[in-house]
Parts: sequence; structure tokens; C-alpha cells
Amino acid sequence: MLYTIVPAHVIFPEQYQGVEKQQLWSMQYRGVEVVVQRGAGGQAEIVRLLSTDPNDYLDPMLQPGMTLPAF
Amino acid sequence: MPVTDSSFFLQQQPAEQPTPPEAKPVPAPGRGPNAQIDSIVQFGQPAPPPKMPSEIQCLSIVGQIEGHLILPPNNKTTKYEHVIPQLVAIEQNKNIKGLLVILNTVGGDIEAGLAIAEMIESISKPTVSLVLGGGHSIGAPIAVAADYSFIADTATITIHPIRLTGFVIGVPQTYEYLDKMQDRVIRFLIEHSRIEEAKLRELMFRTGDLVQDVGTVLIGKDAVEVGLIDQVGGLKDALNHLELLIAQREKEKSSDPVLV
Repeated sequence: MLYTIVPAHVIFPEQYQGVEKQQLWSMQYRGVEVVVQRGAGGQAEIVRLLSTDPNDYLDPMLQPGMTLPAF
Repeated sequence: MPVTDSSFFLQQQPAEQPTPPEAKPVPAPGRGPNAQIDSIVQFGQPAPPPKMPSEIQCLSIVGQIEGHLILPPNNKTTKYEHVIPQLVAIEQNKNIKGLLVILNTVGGDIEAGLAIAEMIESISKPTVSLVLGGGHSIGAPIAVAADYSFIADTATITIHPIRLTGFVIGVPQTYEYLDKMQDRVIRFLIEHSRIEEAKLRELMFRTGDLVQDVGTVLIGKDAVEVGLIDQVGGLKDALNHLELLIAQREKEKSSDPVLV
């Protein structure tokens, strides 16, 4: 049950065709949980960090858009 | 006394099964005795040195608060299942001294929102919340759950009734159910802030403030004046207050013989 200021038709659009499904998954990288998507060349690309440690956001290897090394 | 029964040994012997090489568990990088080698094999670079968590952790709650339902991909969400384990980790890690909660949310799932609010409220470490942009609907209980709450001068909190948009309430029970859900939110807000119940209900059902809806938009100092939020301020104020609370907690600990 939702309690939000966003109207229901905005949250649940009639059709999702216009909205391309973003394929996201999360994984551990450098000891931090990161949300990644498949970027150019099929490599994982950081979308967002799932960390509450402010220092993780200063790590240059953990910036959104960074491509993870292939594995 | 020697065990002569051979069946005893047969039972105790672990079944020798050749494990196929692909079934070998791959340790998570950064953990285990061969962490460095695993990291080089998997990522082509050594794992960073083990780090101490920052004394102050920051939890940001953005977009829709997602709970029992996975929302369509056009919604930006903060997922309940991500936040709850983080709060547990913050509570149990001895190096972490305090938590700053940053809110910019449009609301979302009632039960997930209340669950996060209850978790923040029951953490033993000092907590400070800061509403930036918006802390609407179910964001309000999360904002007041912290020990001390701040709101940015331009940030807003929308207080409005719970409803099923576009749904005609057919039976009295549906209405009663909505009313009960609403009471849970109201009760949490009045128990964790200075606002009076009558005032909160008046704000929630006020007409003429919102276009085509009942409710109130509280901007910055309005939220402080009605007693919902403790103070208008920004990041500097929130962090200073959190450090003050941490210092107070440390002092209490050092003077309490049980906790030393």
C-alpha cells in the first residue's frame, strides 16, 4: 500500500513500452556493494553504490559510470 | 576403548565425492585468506587494503520507498531490503559512532517506510536526519525517527491523508482499513516529534492548500513551527549536531561503570 504524493498513473504507467527496462544487478566490488548495469562492450558499469560509508563515495574506482574490469 | 564395529567407521567417513572443478565455491573478493589473489584473478587488480568504516555513516533515502511491490522501472527507488541490513550493520559495528539520514523522497510503501523509521528510531547510536528537497508522505515518519531532525530552508514535507488513488471505496471496511493505516502513521509522528495530534490531523485534512487534494505542504521553517521537525539547517548543522550527540554519548559511557 503506497503513501506518496506521486499519482498512481505516474507510478504505474498504462504501458511500459516507452520505458526500457534497465537491467540492473548488484555485486561486491572493492568490498562495497555496487549496483551495476551492462555497459558498452558487455562490461559491468557502476550505476550506484549501496553503501552508508561516506568514504566509499570518494574512491575514484567507485564512481558511477566506471566500468568494472572484465572477469 | 577401541571401536570394533566397522559400520561405525563407515558412518563417520565423509562420502568421498570428487567435486567437479566448476562447483568450487568462488570466494567473494576482498575476503578469505587468498583475497589478494582472488581479486587479481577476478578483477585484474589487487583488492584495496582492508578499511575501517567511517565513524559517521550516511544513509540516503531517495525516490520512492519500495517495499512489498517491485515498482515499474520508471520509478527511482530506495529498496527496503537494501536499507534494513545496512541499519543492522551500523548498529552492530563498534567502529561506527553515529548515523546521518538524508531524505529526498516522495513517499512510498507504508509498511516499508514505517519499518525503516522503526529501525532508525531503535538504533542505540545517535541519529540525525536532514530533509533536503522533499520528505513527503511516508518520508515524514523516517525524518522524525532520528534523535534530532533538520530540514533545509527550501525543503518541503507534504502531509496528506492515505488514499487509494482512483479507487472507489465500496465497503465501510475498506474505509476503516485506510483509517487504521493512517492512524499508524499519525501515531508514529506524534510519538517522535513535538507536534500535537489535533494539529497534525488538521494539517492532514486541510482543504485549499493543495490543488485538487486535501493536505498541507510544509516548507522549511513551517515544519519546525508546527513541531514536526526540530530545526531548519543544512549539512553543516546536521553533522555538528550529530558530533555533539556522539560526544554526549561517549561521556555517558565513560561515566557509567556498567558500560565501561
